[in-house]
Amino acid sequence: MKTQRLIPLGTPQPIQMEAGLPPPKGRGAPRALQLNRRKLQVEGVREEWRIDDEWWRRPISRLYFTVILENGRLVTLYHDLVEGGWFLQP
Amino acid sequence: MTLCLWLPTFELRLELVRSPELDATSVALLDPAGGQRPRIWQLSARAAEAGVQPGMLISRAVALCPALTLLEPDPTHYETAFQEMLEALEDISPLLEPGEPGRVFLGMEGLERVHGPPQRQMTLALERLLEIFPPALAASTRAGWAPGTFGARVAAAAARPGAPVHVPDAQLPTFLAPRSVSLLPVSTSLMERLGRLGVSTLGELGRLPEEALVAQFGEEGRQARRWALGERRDPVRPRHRPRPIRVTLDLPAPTGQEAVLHAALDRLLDRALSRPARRGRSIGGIRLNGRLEGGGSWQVEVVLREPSALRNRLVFPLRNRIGLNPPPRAVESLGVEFFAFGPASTQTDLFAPGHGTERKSAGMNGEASYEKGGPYHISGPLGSAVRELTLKLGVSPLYRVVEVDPWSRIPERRNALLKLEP
Repeated sequence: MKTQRLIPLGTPQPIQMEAGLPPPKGRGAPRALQLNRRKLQVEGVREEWRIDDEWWRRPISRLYFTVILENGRLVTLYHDLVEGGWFLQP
Repeated sequence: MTLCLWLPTFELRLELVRSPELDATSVALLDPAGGQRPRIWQLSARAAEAGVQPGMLISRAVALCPALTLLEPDPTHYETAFQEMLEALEDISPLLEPGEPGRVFLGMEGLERVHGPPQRQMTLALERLLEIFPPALAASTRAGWAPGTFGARVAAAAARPGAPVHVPDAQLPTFLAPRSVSLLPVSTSLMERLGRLGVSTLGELGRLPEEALVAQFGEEGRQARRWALGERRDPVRPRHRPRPIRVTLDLPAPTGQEAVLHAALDRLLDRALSRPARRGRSIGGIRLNGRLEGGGSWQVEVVLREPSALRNRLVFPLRNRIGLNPPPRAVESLGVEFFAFGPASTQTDLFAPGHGTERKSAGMNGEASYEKGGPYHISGPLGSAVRELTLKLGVSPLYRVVEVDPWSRIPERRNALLKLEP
């Protein structure tokens, strides 16, 4: 019998983000982010959704955004509502 | 310019050609997709006068019209007749787009020098139908000539048998204005909402502001307005017709037993897949048809989400479809037809899955365990490549993507990499 470790795919990467005020005072939508040492403005938010899961174990609460950056790239990112911080979801 | 030839209630008319004695009676054709509770599909004018409507259950239809003659559908016969119609019309124009059975669009741009003016071309098309269909059927064809397929469709709906409608380019908007919105090729929900808003003609729809229609119906509303105003003129999209692969099997005795049908289906699929014409292609669409005892036919069709050349992937959707829509009577012979194809699926053959247990044994927080040669048999060129690279680098640099929890809401839980080892 031989064992092997699985390597997760699509692991979120922490990013530097400028965003609006989080709820309930604001929508918390992203305005600009640092990607590859370059600051990129968010041109528009295409989609927004929230995931709350695993409350019985280690709660996961994420506010997701699909945004268009100023260079035309479409990226998915989220705000970790439990631990704080922004992440890029590949 | 587009020519639309339309035979309304094509299937019922074909049945009346078979049984001319029913022509002046109350007659209705049953829906082939009706399953266990068949419904009325198409009906004669006399049956409609008695209050029978398409979609009605048989019991209700018979209660309304006790003299109603019900006919079993024969989808194979209708399909064959429609294919004959298409092949006959292909001689007139190579640009030919089939609509629903009984409706054909022909691109007639630039054919004046070959066939003459529009009236002559329409007559020629109708004469061609007379060569393949009995006069009673061919004579009921309606012909419409207009710019774009939608214009031609509306023109054909406005035409009467023997009196084609020709709409010149400049007159299209005025011709469309008084016609019903029910002719628009839009979703049922949009049609219902237009009805509730009191919009009944294309002219009324065209007068509504574009912004208001987009706000109410989105992009579909914008397109509906463009059709209504004659601004959108869709060209004829010629059909792509790969040569189908057909195999048939005569059953030793007529049967309706599911187990026998399944066994026959397995055999037919094996035979069809082993045909040389299939090599290098996967299957995207399959039609299973059966000749019924006492006449008539039965047919089920499956269009696969992902084309495949593996028998197991083809057989299960077909078995499900048989379960949902079983043959109404015993079947004398069965036939399988591959009518849509995809690219050769080489990727699945690369790994040759063994027992398919990788998802059960894998866990993101733990470790995946498998016996060597268990989940995947890495053999052939890929296996030797992995062995060579492992010898050269010390470790295998190749990984395989495995599904861990494909329906997880957390994206990073769905897939993982597993090292490929010789």
